Amino acid sequence: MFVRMLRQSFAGNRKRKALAAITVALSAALITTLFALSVDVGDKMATEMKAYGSNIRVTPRSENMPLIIGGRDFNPLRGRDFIDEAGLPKLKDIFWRHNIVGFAPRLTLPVVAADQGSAPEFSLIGTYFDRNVPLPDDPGYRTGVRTVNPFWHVAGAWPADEAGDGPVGVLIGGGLAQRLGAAVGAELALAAPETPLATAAVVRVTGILTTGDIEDQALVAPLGFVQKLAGQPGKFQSIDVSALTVAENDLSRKASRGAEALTPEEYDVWYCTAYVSSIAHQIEEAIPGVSARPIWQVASGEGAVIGRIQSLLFVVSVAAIIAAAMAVAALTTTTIAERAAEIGLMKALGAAPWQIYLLFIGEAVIVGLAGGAIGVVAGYLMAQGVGWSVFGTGVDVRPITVPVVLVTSVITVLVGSIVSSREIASLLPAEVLHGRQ
Amino acid sequence: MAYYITIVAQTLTVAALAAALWPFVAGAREAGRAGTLLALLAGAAGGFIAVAAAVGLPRSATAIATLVHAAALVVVLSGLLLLPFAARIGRASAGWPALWRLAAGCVLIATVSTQGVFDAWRLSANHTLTATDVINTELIVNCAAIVIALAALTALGLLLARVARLAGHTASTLALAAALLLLTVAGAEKTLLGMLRIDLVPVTAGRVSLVARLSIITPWLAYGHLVIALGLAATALARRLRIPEDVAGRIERRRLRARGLGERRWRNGLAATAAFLLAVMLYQDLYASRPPRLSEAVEMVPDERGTIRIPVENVKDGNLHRFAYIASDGHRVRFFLVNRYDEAHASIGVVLDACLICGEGGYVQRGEEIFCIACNVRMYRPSIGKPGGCNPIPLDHTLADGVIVIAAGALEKGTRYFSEVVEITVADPVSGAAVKNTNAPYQYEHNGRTWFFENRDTYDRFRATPDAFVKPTPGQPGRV
Repeated sequence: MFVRMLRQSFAGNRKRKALAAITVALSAALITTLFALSVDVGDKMATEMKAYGSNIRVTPRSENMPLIIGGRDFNPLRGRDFIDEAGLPKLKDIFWRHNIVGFAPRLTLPVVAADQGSAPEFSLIGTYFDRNVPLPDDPGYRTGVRTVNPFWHVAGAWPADEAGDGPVGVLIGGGLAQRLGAAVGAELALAAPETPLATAAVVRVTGILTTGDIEDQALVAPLGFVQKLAGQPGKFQSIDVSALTVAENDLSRKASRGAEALTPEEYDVWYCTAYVSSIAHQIEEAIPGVSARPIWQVASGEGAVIGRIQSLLFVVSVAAIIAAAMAVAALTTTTIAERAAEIGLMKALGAAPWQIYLLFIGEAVIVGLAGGAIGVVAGYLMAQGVGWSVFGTGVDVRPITVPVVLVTSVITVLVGSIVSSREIASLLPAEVLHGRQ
Repeated sequence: MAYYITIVAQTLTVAALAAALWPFVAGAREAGRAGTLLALLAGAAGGFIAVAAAVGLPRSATAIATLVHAAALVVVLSGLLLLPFAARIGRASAGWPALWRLAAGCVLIATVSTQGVFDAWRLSANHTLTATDVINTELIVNCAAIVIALAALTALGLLLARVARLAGHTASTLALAAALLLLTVAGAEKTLLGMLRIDLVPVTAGRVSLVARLSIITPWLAYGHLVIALGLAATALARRLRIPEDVAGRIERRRLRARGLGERRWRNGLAATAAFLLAVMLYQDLYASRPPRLSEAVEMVPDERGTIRIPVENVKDGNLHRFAYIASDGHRVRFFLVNRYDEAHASIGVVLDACLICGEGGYVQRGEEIFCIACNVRMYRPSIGKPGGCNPIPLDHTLADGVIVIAAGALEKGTRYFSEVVEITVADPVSGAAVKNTNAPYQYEHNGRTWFFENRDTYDRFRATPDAFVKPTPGQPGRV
């Protein structure tokens, strides 16, 4: 009976129902777009926080002095302070040494191509590719960027870490290769933009590197070669460490406010758990004068943006919901006025008020679901558009968006129709059936 | 998801039960609804204040919890004692003013819900709703779980209030009394434990054992309350409306049928809600919250040379191969072999299935990775076999002709890391009589091996000249 009446009501009232559904669909599309952007970034952040591996960047402590005024870095020590290469094996000497999978030191030197005198300078990055670092208990230990950054893609061959005969092999970033017109096998002569280099430098490109980061605009060479050019033997500026860690939790978050905040028992548990923060702390203990910080790639990039505008997104969504609910309320009021005689007849036949309400709620749920479904599809397309124009990539719309938007749409319609269906109770069968008010 | 539903159901089911049953049992009809709602709100507010106090003063969190539990215990116990009066007077609807009966109920409902909200927070304090502040799937799912659980409990309360009328006054009074009795027992345990922890009462063996005995009931509390709700639904089913044969007239019959249909809906709704909560709680307790299980260990018995030999060929597939050895004193020593590199470059890590830091929890393999169960740290595979960090304890072994040889003596040394003891029958080295390791009256450790004796005499003789009785076994410690 209920189903038949519901079907009847839709058959007689198609236009108004469609209008209500479209109103809801508009607000649902807006919510889907904003929600999809936010949840995509939120999920990426949550995955990053829970990942079993993360990277730590170790820099000299003076580098961390914040001296940024008006967006420019005025730290006079930046790039002047170095870490000693002799301290590297100490990384594998900490309590969680087995959880340090690999590390790659890094020394950056600004250079220009010798035959293109006026061209803009680019970075020459010295690092380990896959180099043997003898440890007391493992003389064959190998590490380098191939371990730390497994997602680096090289078209061509990886160069050797030790200098052989002839020009030194290097990787060239994809962007830089295009700019210089260099292909695999090309030889480049390098010069320093200001001070002359310590030795003459000719390198041979063995492969083209794609990382999606600053290395795309740089040359990546063996560390020893760059140290010689810079006149800084045995020195480098930073280390990237890849560590196996456990997911962050309350304790590690408490510790991130400073290890002093922990009680002695908490400190022990924290120190003996492979949180990225405790591993970073132990690296700082092992190598004097450095500071080790976990690198949260999403959290410090997109996450920071979304985190700031999140409340704005909510306000816009709530405004859209309220607008849609008011529109639905107006439509429902008209429907009830139009169908007063029908409601009166139901009451006269002995229908309880909740049965009439149920009819209207049933309608609201169906309209909400239909509108929400249209809105999800439209919102998906809009989110892709926004993603491409703002972040330059498509947005991965998470499955959770669909139930959330559908529930929100149904609630929108329910709120709208409940507000106005209170009039049902005040309708008197005798009056409406007579056509008098 | 199931975790948060379980937490809410465990802590707040009793509040729904009390709010549904007390007004009916005590005969508070119309004023009952508003009073109950106000009491629930006041209880929730009280719970949040207690949580805020515990968060603000982390050092006295145990004291605050004890205070909440003690207050709830007093109120619940008084409610249980007052229940017979309230119920009898409620039926006669005379004597005790209705307002007093309602007020007593409201205090009970508010206190029970305060304790529920506080316990829900306390139980889930080490569980985070979300890993980051930016809205994400996990946050939405967890919040949805809490909303679903609260909605289910609200439905349970509303349906129970209806079904209680169908089940009758006596059945409802008994149900409420049973629910309060369960809560009193659990509350006594929590209060006493709290008082012991903050040194309010001195710790004695008797008190600790009383707490331990009472604590058996605590995890089953919410199950008990849901079963009580199901019992009321069953009572209502037994007392369901049957249309008498002699009802004359179609109109009267149809009216009765409609009433019967309505009552059936309430009953079925209650049973379905309670069954849903029970199912989620069972799923969480029996399946989802279980720690990962260790894979089966293959029992190994040393050969006549006292060694265990495992060909590299059998264990180089990259999986974790777990074995067990029963030591001379009955300890079950687990160890595992795993290939540190790929199949072409077999290098087998031979380690005990225990960690110096985390104990004997053991290690499991999930996909390609090997984890410590206790601390959830992922092992860097090439490092297995080296000491340090959370790595498994290395086991002495030799590699000969593609066979890994482990001396039984090396495994005997591992007994101190494992607590699991298997009952074995051994011979008394002096008399040769068969004794069991678990009930032998005397035992003596000599040269890293444990010997069991049937009586004092053989024990003393062995202690005086152990080497006279120990037959040198190859591979065992003590061999010359």
